[in-house]
Amino acid sequence: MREAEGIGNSVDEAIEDGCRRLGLERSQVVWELVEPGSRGLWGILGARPFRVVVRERTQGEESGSEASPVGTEETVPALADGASPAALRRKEEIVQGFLEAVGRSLGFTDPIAVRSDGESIVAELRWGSEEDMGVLIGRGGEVLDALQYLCNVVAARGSGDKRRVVVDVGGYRERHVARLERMARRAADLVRETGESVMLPAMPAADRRIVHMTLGEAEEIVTVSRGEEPWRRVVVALRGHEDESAAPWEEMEGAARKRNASGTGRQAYRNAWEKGPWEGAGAKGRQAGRGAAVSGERRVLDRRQEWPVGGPWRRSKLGGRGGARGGGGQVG
Amino acid sequence: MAARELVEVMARALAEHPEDVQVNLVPREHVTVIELHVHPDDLGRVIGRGGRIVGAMRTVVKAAGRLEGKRLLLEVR
Repeated sequence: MREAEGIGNSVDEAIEDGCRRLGLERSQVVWELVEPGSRGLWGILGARPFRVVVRERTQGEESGSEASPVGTEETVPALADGASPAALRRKEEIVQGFLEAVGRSLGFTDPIAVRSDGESIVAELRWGSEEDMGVLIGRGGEVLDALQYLCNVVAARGSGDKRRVVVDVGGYRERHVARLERMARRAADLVRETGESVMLPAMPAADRRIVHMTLGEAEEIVTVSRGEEPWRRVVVALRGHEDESAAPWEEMEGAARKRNASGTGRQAYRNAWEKGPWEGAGAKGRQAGRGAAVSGERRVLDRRQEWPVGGPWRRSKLGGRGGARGGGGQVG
Repeated sequence: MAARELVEVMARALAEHPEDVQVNLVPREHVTVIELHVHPDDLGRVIGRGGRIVGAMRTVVKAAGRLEGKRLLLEVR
């Protein structure tokens, strides 16, 4: 049996090199990774070559199991997006290299563990004390999300793999998902109890998806997203009532914030309703509505019946309980 | 200084011309301004659509400042 070692800057290149030495086509060989190299830091720092052993394929030879990366070009199963194991490895290395470099600049030298499954590459940071980790997560996970976004941008350029990159610190992602699921179930319970719709806090698309999925099987409950990014919010309602107005989650939870009850807050809130967000708000309207739209201000407005005539809520039946159902707004 | 290195690492990873990445620190009264200079062709890659990439970098830089007990501000020049 003929075999040869191939060396290259990626698994692909190493296989090509091996094939050249044997004078065979890629389809005629099986290969095995001997030494995973490293592209280093964007091809600059610490690059090591990849080494593979390429062997002439015998009749009917099957590719190896997933655990040992042996296979021919045809038998390496194409992953979801036609990505190759080489592309995946490259992407993992870029993510790891990027995060380790970021960590070093901040004084954290621990290596970063990267694991992958069919749809994502997960990098787990173990940086610093618990307090440091809190800073790295940020309010509502914003710092972690920013790091994750940068990782995705950087890694998308260097490889053909389509897997998304997930960056985690101390199991935060899992806790966060559990928290969202709890909130979703609690909201559904509130809706069933009171019959009134609840509008959850504004959250990013990935988080809204978790809410939709959590309540996807609840027959009598419907979830819809309303408003525009980044203030898009999920409304949890009884089936058939999803177009009616909803009470903000904060209010339903008895945590209405009084600090937005100022005159400017009220005006800002009115603008937010007039101009959208669900009617295509201008930047100004959205900006103005930002603080107020999530406050408990809506109820105050309902009570005072201060809605301008002709606003999107003109069909509402004011009065009544003055509660969440009072001001049925038109929602697109 | 950590902040300079952090910005360099991020900008070099994003840029097509990493060798042209330059970072200056300008201390002001209450805040240190981090000026990032990149190759003109890389401006879009560093800023991103709607400023999304530079926004993410600013968030990370601010967090780094909190780790050091400093206020940091990132500006792309």
